[in-house]
Amino acid sequence: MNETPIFECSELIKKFGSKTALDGISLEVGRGKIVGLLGPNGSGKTTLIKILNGLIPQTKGQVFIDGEKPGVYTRSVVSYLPDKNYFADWMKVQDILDMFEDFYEDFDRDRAENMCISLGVSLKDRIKALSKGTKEKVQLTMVMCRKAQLYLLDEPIAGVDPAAREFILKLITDNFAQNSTIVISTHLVADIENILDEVIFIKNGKIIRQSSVESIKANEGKTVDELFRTEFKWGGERYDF
Amino acid sequence: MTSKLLKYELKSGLRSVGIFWLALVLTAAFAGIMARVVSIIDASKAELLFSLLNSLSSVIYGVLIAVIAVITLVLIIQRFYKGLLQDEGYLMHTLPTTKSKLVASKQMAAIIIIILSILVITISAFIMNIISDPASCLGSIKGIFKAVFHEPLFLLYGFEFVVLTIASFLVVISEIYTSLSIGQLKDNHRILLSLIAFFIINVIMSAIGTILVVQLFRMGLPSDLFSAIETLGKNLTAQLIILAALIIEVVAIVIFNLITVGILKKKLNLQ
Repeated sequence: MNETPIFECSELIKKFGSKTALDGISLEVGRGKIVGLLGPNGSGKTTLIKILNGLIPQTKGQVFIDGEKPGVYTRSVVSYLPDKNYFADWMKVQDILDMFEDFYEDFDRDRAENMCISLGVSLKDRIKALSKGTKEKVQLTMVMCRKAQLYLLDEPIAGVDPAAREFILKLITDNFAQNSTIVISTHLVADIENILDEVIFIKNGKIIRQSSVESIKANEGKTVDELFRTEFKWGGERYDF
Repeated sequence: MTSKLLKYELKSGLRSVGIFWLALVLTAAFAGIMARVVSIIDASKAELLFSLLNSLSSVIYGVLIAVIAVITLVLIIQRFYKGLLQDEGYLMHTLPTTKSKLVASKQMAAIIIIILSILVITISAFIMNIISDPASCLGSIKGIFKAVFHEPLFLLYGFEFVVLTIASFLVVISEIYTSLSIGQLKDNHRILLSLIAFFIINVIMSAIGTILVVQLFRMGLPSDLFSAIETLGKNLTAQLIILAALIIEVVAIVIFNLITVGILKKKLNLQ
């Protein structure tokens, strides 16, 4: 079994002009777990995820994914779900399947096809013709049908109805390959805490807590959601997410 | 990996422009038939209708050529902008490939579509002419072949013209990509900023060109050119000039690509 952390950051800083988005983050995440990257909007979750998958470079510090700096290799072992629909409108579902099969050796086409069909999506459907919710489900299907080492899911349940949330979380847990790590960034803690093994709290670009869900329950006597609401009080008042 | 990227770029591009190529060829054939009919029928009631159809098809043919030119340009801009700088960029930039391959595949697709557009326009003109006036068309073609066989250097010059034209298109494509990459550095008014960048780059290129020409004249280019023609002959001198032009274009393409890839690596600003 590979003991190298799936990713590690040391003294990671990201600045956009004069604004500091990540402020000296150091952390190490192991394999075979579902990790919640939790923090309010603007706390640095998306920036950290973008750096991990090589979309943007850090200003200072170091990042390693499976022991390598972000690049062509790390992109081949990371499966990324952004909080946007990234498929071209002209594509049919079939084209997307072809594309993922062409570019990712770890893509399980048969499973993806079956899942699309179970969603009621025909392979000949154009992306343009799908509803927003169905597009999101198809996108998550493609991402989860890779046998990647690291899944980075940026706000996968934001803006979807409760039924869709349930479907998405089931899709994530059902397709969670052993020894892979899934990082889910969200501020909707209550919805996902049941599937999490570990949590990372991020606030103003700093990691303020990294611990297992079990230890939070044992040591703090609180659920992750309760702890989150305590940690992220807004101006003395509780910050309602 | 570049060939896979190219496959998707072409698939996307050909979808938009392919229908206009087909329309152009069909219009050319129709215009050719109308011109032939008008040239052979006698004066009658039908003549006015055929003349009208002939004129109309010729106008549509011209408009379609303009539309293809505009669509090709829009496609070059849109495929880069939407594909790499907007939401699609979240997929493209996380594929296991390099930024330079992403840019190269877009450039290749753009140049292939331009070349195919020129070929389709040429073929459509041939179809129109061969239908409307076969004898004259075949005569012109014979004339071209005769000239080429009479002076084999025409082939070399023709080949060099094609290479230089492709290189010139690549310079413009690369310049557009660089301008768009500069434009995306800001969160707002990206297109406006890209246009300003394109304008400034053109001003800089013109300034460099002027400085180069002035320097060459100061170094005695006209007399060098005349002495070169005397010693090397006009063909060899022309070859050297063509080579110099090609080198300048390749240098421009390399510089633009370095800037574009550098921005995509260090300053990508997806929204």
